[in-house]
Amino acid sequence: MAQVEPWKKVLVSQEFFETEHGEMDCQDCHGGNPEATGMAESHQGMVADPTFPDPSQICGDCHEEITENIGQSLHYTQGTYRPMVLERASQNPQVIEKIDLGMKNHCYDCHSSCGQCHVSRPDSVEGGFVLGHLFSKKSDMAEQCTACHGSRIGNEYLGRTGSGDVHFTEKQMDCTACHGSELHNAARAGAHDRYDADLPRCEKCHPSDEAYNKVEQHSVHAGKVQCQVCHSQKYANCSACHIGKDSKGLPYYKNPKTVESFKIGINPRQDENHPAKWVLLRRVPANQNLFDYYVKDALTNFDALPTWKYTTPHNIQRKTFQNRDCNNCHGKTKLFLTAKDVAFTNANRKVLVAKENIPAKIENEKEKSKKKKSYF
Amino acid sequence: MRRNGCPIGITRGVIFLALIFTLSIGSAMASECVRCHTKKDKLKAITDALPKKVKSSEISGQG
Repeated sequence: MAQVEPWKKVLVSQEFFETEHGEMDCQDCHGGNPEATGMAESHQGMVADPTFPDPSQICGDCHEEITENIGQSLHYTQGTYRPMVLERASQNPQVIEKIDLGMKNHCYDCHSSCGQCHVSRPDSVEGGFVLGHLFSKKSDMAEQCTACHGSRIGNEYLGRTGSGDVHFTEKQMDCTACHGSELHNAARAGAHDRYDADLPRCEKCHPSDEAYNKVEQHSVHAGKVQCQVCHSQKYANCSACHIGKDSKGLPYYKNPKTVESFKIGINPRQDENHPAKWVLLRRVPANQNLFDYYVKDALTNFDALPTWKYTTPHNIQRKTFQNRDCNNCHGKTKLFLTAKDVAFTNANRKVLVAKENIPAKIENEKEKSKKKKSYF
Repeated sequence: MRRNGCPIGITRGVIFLALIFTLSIGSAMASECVRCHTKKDKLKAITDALPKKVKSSEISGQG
């Protein structure tokens, strides 16, 4: 994402002073010394983002019902990162200490806050006001949401990879059209990954009504196959993230291997909210050498979790390669995640599809196609 | 008490409200923070003189 010029990041617009937030004194939220004329003196004790880590102090005065829980939301806490890493890690406390240091230096910048969703760009892209310090109820898709969720979700949705998502390309829906105030909710106790949070569901707008049921394949596959299996396109998979510091001591992360693919596998988290057996799986960047810069052999229990995870690519199309013909999936081995696709077979045992379990090719498909004009 | 043709109470009230409004706007607008953070050229001059943030050149790939 292109950087904003430094002066532009902190330029307050005149319109801001005409809003309710603009009636407050700067120091009420940001501290500092408003009487000082020099830069160093005036910024002493100043807090650029007063909404992190505790949003209740500043925003809570007026927005108590929102700030009550948001401090425990995944955007604030990234609460699933550490348990996920530790599940793969050595139990040695000295090793865990070094993993924590690595995560502190490289991973925890990705949090968000009230301010970073409603006033400025997030810290991970070095901030900067989006609209001259104006507060926006709706987060800006380009400047805020996809600043963090850009390389996969943003690129898919906007069509930088593939043909984009019909919700955007045809309907111009932004992120907040589906992702609403549930983002302010506290994460559930024991949340294991982002899919444990309250998330929008396709059925909310596409219920099982007459129009939906007119499509034969919906009644055949509903509840067994995730919507995205039939309606997504290829998506990005990463596999080699590693972190470290360069010769000047500056922290970096590298994630050089990104491959676009499309893999159907067994749902590793089949439950009430994710009932389908067949789902799309995405390779996550985890790898055994991730923490080598800080400590060797940190992830001694690497196989404890799959490296291919449940995913919901944001590149939905009504018509896709898969749903044009039954045999574009049935009997199509290369679309399924099999042992030859993965580097860590043991880790992925739960999600792999055994060759004999791949849905068989439908032999009379041509005749069937002649009788039925189309699925659409 | 109302005098003929001169509603003193209302006039005083209007003046008082105008004063409060001016003061409240004035206090936010008058601080040194606002004097600086609303002027593009001033900010540009200051930020140009600041040392540039250095990032590792080893960064590659996507996050």
